[in-house]
Amino acid sequence: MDSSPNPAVTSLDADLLARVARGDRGAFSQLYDQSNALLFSLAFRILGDREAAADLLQDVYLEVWNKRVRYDAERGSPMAWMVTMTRSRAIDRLRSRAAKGHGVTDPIDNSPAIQLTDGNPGPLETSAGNETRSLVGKALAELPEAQRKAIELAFYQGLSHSEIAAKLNEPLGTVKTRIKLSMDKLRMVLRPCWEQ
Amino acid sequence: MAHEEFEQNVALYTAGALDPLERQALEAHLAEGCQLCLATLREYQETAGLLPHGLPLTAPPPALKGRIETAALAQVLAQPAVTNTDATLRTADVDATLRTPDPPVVVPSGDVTIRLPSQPAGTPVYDATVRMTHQQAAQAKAVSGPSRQWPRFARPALAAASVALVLGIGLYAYSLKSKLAAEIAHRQAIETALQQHTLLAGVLRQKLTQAQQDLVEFKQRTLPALQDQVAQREMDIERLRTQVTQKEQELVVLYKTASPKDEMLAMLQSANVRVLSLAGTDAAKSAGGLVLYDPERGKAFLYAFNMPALPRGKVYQLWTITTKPVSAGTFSADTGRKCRHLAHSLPAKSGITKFAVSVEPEGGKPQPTGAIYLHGSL
Repeated sequence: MDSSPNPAVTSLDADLLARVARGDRGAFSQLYDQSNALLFSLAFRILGDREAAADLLQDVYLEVWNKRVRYDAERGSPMAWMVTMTRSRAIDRLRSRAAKGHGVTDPIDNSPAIQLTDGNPGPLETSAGNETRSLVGKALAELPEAQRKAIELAFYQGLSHSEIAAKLNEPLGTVKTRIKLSMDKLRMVLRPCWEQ
Repeated sequence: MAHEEFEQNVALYTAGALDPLERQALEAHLAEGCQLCLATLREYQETAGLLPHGLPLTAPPPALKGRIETAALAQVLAQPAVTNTDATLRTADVDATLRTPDPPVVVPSGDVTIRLPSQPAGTPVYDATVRMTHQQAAQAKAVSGPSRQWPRFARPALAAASVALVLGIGLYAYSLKSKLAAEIAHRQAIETALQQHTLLAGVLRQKLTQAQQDLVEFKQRTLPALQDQVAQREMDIERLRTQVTQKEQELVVLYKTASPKDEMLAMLQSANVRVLSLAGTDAAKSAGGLVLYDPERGKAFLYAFNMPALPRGKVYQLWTITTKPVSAGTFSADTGRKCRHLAHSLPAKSGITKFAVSVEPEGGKPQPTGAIYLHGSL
């Protein structure tokens, strides 16, 4: 519990997760410090509610701590794993909320599709994370609006391509192609981020 | 579904855009270990994992970390019940392995005598070495038979079996011991944590007691004093409120006194104002007065002096006279026997020629009935 917060790190050490899996509380604390800002921003973006996002993060970290989920290096980097897990839990919660009849807010209608970073470091940002953030921001900004919106609807609202097609009243094939194209572009542009 | 189609779907899968059926199909394909798809998946997974970096960073509530760590610790502390039982079982196993002679299988092997552990029903399988040992033991038991007489040709085989047994049991015991050591270390860590928390709880309990004592003391000593002060303050406030009311009343009086003066000043500034002096009649020889009369606005201001004292129940009444007297209000004198009176609503441009003041019963009269004290003409 002595590590200083480092909220905008872009990668996690696989060894850190291994130490957490062995029950190392110091490592658990470090894992939180290094990933909470990104994961909270993600959960908050999906759920649109700070309290719900905090509850979700608690569940995610405890799942890792209790080894109910285990990191598999085959499936990507530790940070990508944590992001995937947080996103999928948040989307599950969003769906169950919708199933219970709570109105699902549609943040896309009142906020930009994906907030683009303005290049100025915010209070939470570190220079280490800035490079990745500006690269991701630039990559997203360079996508055509329709592609960015499709990615947004899928990734942050959990809509499948057929749901997106229905929502936007566009052919299914067009939506699929858009998502595929945008993911391909992002993969190419962002490759340096994980190949460093 | 063809492999190409799966590969196509990997990008949509990582973006979270597949329909449930497609997702399940792709996951099944990945589970089969398709290396091509897995390699593609890794890259898209990294790409998708970077997407949240495009979001504005939002800090979680500061208390969240503590909440998560407490929950994690609570789970660690809740585990020993299971771990203990587990450890006890293992200890028992070790003991059984090392000591229990029931039923002892004595295997003579040269000078060495080995005791084998009994095999309780449902014993967990630990590892291959142990299983081998048990099998060999069973074989050895079968071979030994009831007479425990060993054919000479069997002795080398038995000796080999015995060596394997010794090694096996040694390994078994070693494995159990190291597991036990790890368990003990784990429990020690938990106990240390528990001690720390007990300590912390003690400190918190002390603080709570202190806070409770402070509260009691506050209730007993400080609170009554404060209540007294509050009562005192309330009395002060009441006193001040009375004073304020009094001052307000005085202010009203002052305002009333002041306003005729102001009116008089205003009237003096008016271009149309006429001035006439009033002379005392025989009934009030030393009295005199002055009327400022503004015919345009229908206002008149009277100032009189040396007025005879008013008998009880009487007032002065001002009259304006055109053809006959019309009342312009009643008034009384101040301590210096001076009078100030403002008549507001005289008929405008009404051709008033005379002003007079008489003494009348309280409330005034429609026509003069008492003695006239002052009179004057324009």
